[in-house]
Amino acid sequence: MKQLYLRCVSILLFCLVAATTYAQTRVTGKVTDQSGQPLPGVSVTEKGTKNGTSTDANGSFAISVAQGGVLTFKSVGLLPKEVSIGTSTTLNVNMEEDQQALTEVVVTALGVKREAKSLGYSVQKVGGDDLVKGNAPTLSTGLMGKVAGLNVSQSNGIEGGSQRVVIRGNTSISGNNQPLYVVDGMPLDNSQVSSKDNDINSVASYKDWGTVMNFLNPEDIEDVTVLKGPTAAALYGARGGNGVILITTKKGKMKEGLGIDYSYTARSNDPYRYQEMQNTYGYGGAIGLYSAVKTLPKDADGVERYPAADIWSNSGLTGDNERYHSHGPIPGGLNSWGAFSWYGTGASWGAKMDGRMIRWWDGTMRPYSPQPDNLSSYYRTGNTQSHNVSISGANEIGSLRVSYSRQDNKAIVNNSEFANNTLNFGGNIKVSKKVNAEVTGSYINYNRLNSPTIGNADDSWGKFSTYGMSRDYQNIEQFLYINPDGSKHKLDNSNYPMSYPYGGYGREMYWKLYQENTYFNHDQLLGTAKISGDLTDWLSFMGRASANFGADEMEKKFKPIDVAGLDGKYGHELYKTTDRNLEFLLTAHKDNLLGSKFNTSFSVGGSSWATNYRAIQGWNDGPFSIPFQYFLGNINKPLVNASDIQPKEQRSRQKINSVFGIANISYDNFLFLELTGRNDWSSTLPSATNSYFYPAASLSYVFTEHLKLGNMKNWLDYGKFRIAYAGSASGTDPYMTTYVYDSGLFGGLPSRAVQEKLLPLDLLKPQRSKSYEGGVDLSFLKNRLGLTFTYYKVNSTSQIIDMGLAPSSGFGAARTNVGELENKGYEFTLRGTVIKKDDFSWDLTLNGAHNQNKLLNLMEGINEYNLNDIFGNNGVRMKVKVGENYGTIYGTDYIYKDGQRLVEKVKDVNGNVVGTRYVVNAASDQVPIGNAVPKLTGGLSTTFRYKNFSLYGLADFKWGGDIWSGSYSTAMGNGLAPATLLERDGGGLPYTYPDGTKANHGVILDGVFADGTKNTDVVNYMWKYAGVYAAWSDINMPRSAAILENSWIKLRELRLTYQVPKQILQKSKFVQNLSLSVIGRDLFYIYTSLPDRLNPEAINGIGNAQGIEFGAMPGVRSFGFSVNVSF
Amino acid sequence: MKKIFYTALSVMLIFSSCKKGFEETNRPWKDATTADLNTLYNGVVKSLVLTWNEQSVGNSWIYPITQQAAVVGTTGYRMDAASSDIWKDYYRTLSNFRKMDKMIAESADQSKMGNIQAMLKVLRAYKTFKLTDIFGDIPYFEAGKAADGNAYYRVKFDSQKAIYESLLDDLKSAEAALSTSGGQVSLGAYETFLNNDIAKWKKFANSLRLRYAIRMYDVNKTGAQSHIREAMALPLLAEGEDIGIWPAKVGLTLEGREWAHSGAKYRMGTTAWNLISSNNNPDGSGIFDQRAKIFFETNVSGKWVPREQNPIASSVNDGGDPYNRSNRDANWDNKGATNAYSNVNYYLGRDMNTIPELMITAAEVNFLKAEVYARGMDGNAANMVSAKTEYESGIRKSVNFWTKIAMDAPLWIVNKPTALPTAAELSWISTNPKVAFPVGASEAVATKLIYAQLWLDNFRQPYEAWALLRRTQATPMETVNAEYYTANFAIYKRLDYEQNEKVYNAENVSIATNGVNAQTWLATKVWWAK
Repeated sequence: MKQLYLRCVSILLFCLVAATTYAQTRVTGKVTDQSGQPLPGVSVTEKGTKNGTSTDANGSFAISVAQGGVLTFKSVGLLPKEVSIGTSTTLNVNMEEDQQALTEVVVTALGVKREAKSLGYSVQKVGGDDLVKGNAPTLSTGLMGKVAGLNVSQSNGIEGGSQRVVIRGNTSISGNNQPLYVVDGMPLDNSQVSSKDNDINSVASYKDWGTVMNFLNPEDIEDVTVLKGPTAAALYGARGGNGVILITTKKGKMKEGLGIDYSYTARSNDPYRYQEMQNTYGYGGAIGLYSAVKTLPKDADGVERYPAADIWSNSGLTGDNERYHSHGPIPGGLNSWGAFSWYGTGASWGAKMDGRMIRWWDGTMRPYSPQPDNLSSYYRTGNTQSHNVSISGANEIGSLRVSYSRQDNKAIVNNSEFANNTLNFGGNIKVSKKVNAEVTGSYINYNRLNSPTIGNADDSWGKFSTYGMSRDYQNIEQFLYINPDGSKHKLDNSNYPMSYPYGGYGREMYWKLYQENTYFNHDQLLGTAKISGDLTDWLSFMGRASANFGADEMEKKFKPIDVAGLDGKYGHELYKTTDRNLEFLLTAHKDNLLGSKFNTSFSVGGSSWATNYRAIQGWNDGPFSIPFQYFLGNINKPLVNASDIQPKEQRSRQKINSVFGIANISYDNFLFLELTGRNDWSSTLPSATNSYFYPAASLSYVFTEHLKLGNMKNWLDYGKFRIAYAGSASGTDPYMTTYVYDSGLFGGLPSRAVQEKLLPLDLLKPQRSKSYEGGVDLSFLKNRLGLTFTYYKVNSTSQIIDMGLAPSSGFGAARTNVGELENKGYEFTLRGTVIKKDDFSWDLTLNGAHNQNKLLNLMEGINEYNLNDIFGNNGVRMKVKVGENYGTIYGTDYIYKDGQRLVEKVKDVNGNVVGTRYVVNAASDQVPIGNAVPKLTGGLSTTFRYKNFSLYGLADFKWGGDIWSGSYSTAMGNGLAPATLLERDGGGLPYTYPDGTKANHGVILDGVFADGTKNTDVVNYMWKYAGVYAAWSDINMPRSAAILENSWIKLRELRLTYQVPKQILQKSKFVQNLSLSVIGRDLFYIYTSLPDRLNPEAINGIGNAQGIEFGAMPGVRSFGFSVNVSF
Repeated sequence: MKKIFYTALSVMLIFSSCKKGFEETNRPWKDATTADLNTLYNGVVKSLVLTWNEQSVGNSWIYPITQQAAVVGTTGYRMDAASSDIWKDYYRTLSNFRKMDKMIAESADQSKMGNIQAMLKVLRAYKTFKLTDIFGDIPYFEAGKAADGNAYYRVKFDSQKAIYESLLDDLKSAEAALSTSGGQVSLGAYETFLNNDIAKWKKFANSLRLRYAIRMYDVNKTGAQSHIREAMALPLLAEGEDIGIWPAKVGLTLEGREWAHSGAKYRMGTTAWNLISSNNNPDGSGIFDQRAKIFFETNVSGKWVPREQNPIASSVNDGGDPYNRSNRDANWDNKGATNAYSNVNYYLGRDMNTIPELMITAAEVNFLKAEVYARGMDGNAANMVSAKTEYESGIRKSVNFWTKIAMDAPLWIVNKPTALPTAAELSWISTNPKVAFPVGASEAVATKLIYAQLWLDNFRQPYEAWALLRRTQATPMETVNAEYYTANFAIYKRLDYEQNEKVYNAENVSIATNGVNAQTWLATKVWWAK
């Protein structure tokens, strides 16, 4: 041992002596990026030697090199540079960003930074700048169209609402298919904000208060890395089975000047794209069938008056005048809803709006004239403004960034707004030479007033637009709803003896809008502390502790409708979420293992994650005891049940502990193998099965570094093949493993009943998935052209699902491990620099993805699973069936005989034929009528740079996939759609009305009767529209008629930026950087397959049933500008 | 390297010890993890309360089918809403019966649980008869057992005949087993149905046995006769022992009833009117049956105007709003300006706390006995004298019962009777030609009268009236424009199977229905139907 020591020392001494014998030059300098910013941490080595150093926080370095030597500058994300040392002792080096993936560094699972070329799976990074380029309202919308295979869809609603984010399609039959978000190491689910009696999973009706990700400020994000599929996410467990979105927040950087950045963005949000409607005919249902010229009823004094809703509305329209009711009897005596179902008061089969003066329902004389703008009368132009100020700095000891952001939104609907304050902190400090500590934290304070009701609800303007509002509608309710004394002005017969004509649909709209207020408050503290460093030159460590604390509060103040202030309601709800995550990772690495070309690295780590959610919801249904005071105890009535005053409670707790190992082995810098294994213990599974292991492996082969490609090298810069496999497993929701009973009270005593959900007879096991992917990354023509392509296949098995059972089994569902869902698809990005000149460049990036989900099997004997529905059997439903693709829409359809639609005669009570109707299958036997899954999704972005100007545009697209459009269906059934004018305007067949008048108003429904004879009956046009599309009741309509292909291309983001030249700024002495931008967002659809300007992005909800639309809000476009300045 | 190994090992140990808290973390925080016989039994009694859609569909569909009332419009309620409620409620309860059977079988006190077992048998029989009468063949013998394994996830349908025979035997054995002797485990206060009144339990079991044996008599005479004979000889429900859910006794508010009523569009039809009034005078001067003013009320103009059971040319639209709670509570006369026809009495639906949901009345027992005597169904010769006695007793009990209902309902204010009718006031029972039982009545005449009065007594049990109609085809029917009834209502012979049953037990449903479509199946008679 001693000998060895002496030998070493003598070798070292020899080296030192030898080194000093060469002529050495001391070189100092500074490394900067293209914009002149100093670059810390760049490795500076003397080529061919081990002599090296790295730049400090100011980008400065000093090194002694042999005369005539060459210095190599390398840093991840930058193109390496070699500079020969002449005689100069000062060397300032400017390094260019590496535009391609050659040496790009990406953050992978657990926050480990890796060179992209070494990865055997697909990840994609979006820089913070790209995220905010189009002034996207949220992180998720900022990702739209930017990542291949990442589908971001907005739910029907307004800014502040939720987005559905899915990577590579659905992997869970029944559960959440959205990715896991990891913010600086803290895993977060993008769950929606809860509120009492608000079913956020409904596709029919809901209020959307947004999701957790809505509250993060995109301006504070350094970059977002999308780990696609379970291969990339293997180390997050199956919580990452739907992919992981890794979010890294900004940290301090060395900056010139004061290090203060400020940006201001203002955006005006314009609801502009309304469903196209006819503007010729007004109010009326049955009246459309009586006479060629539609008339209006007359009052006793002979003055024409507005019609009314139902014959029991006490409208004063009796006897023969009942036909003027929207739901009056049809000729022959049938009730109109007996012929056309409950179609709502929007029906506009009535008189021509020719401007004549009539007595309106409020008693005032008004012109009966077209109201082309009545759909928009509910909306206003909204706006969003944000200020962001940050201070950032760095030195040898560490770095720090503190920022504050304020965002204010005025919604496009009245009496709704939100404000978001974010205080963000990011810093690191060199604790010692080898140990680095990093702390990030955000405090978020978000306040929102009101979120509109979406979909099928009586205070939903979207529904009212087609179901409740006739085309002659004049929005006078907005002025009438309240009395001067502040009490509710009831739109009932006592105030309006002619009766209110829009039933229950419009009556409460404005009182609810202005006087039933919900105040939402969200406070969140999110933080991570991390310590990392090197224990020895081959052993490094990382430890990280993260916590998220969120508190939501909802206050619902329903103003008393009476003057005395007693007839009010009040709700108060509190929600509390606590998440914590602890992680450590120990890595041993050795390059050139035993002198070979193998580089190796082995890591072991562990994590412990816990979440705890609690909620209390209280509701005071009134009447109040103290006027106008809003608190839960303010109730003045004898309580019938204890449950009337008991607050509701929710809780959810779970923990996952894990250990994992990672092995990275590379050979000669062209072949990279990664092996990982992870074992989880989940609190949500029975103790016998709650420990589960899953492995993953990936291989990357950079063939351009290995093969001698000869002339190919002239045009092929870089090429890589990759393959990967990953297993994944997960637990389930809490509280599913213990048998419980339904409890109640009867006769004053407790009652119990066997729970409707049956637990599995054997133990619940973890859900599993296996995924395979392969791909290629190529770069051509000196990085002017790049292509990546990935094919993947994911099989998800043993899913924990509540499988529907036949009720005769005694249970409604059996919770069990069943099913296999297969996902296959591909995704690609194509990137090109069309022009690259010093002061002009043009870049294009196209990405696209195709995914197919197929249900391979479920439980023996059971082959379908319901996802969601609207109007139950009478409407449409989405379900998955074995052998079918996910996303199938079911509903009633035409019945065919010899290839022709079957029709039947509709008869009145006396057996007289009054119309023709299509025969459809029974509502209980719904059949597939469409599929919502698109064929291809993606985005095309382009950037032009000319001198100090840059123009950026992003178009995203969705190709293929159907929706059932309730808005279309209702507009057709109610005679609102422009198409319904055809016959009414004389384009039909000759037809004689019951009163003997004639007009070309007839139609023949194309089809045959049950006996095979061709239908030649000419009937009123209403049978073609109201008889096919109208609504829902015991009259079955072919829902397939409103299945529409929904393909679109949209100009999502447009931004023109002017960078004020440095020369000008320098004169100011303190402004370091200034850029001005104008921004357009959601500008228009370049193409849409939907008719009548229907909103292609108005799918209800962000659940798994993504093919149902009803009550669409209008399309909104935004124009804005932003100023970014650095001091 | 050793260091790493030990670090990893100690970390793993830490994690495996962390797992210890998991069970506590995942323990349900609000739900009951245990149940005993008492609470489960109470849950079964709770399931006797009618489901909401059962009532709304009754009001919009079953009343016009039975002609107990007429409708002036459609409500949009679909018959399958009732299918769903009734079907699911039954099988959810059946799984509770199975659970309790198992708990009793595993109990050390099994031998002392004869009464509990008998009570469960009787309640199960009642619920099962009700279900099979509405749907026909149903899964029964293997149903409700999914907790025993996935072999019971999709079970076969059993024939109505087999179910009837089995249940009648159950009623027989239960009646025999019920015992007042000591040593029986008691449910105590949890026996919320008949409060441990063993004698009443026996009468209830016997009366049910009589009802259902009679129901299958025409299709299974040999099977029925011995049950009828035995039941006739045993104690049956007597006046004041009407069985049902009496909300006041169990502190219940029947919101579903009020809800189902508020959306109803039923009116007094000519069929019922013809049975309770001697003429069509709108002032009600022809009314002889006191129940007329309990079951029905006048139109908005205070007139007695029956709705044509089958609308004719002179029928008018009735846009009245007689079940609007806020209007009527404030002003009883506010029935809607266009309320043209007499309404089904507002109070019957509005009352949520006193009027019972009936299962079987003492009056019905009289009518059942009357039929047995009139037809000699117990094997003895027909006895019209006894039939007449039972018949008249049944009417008297029914009138008294319904009068008392109105008297006891605190909400009932307008036209509230103040005392039970006197003998003189009830003389119409034996004198009015529409009601009087002729001394030498033929079987056809006698049964027609009996069925009519049972049909009327069943006024708030429309599904029972429907069973009577389907069994006999001899309940009161309007003959004017009868084609209308044939086309719109006569087609319904049963409810269609529940949607999820069709989806998740498709094969067995298909076997049960021979694969016919829903429309055809609805028009297919159940086993005992005429």
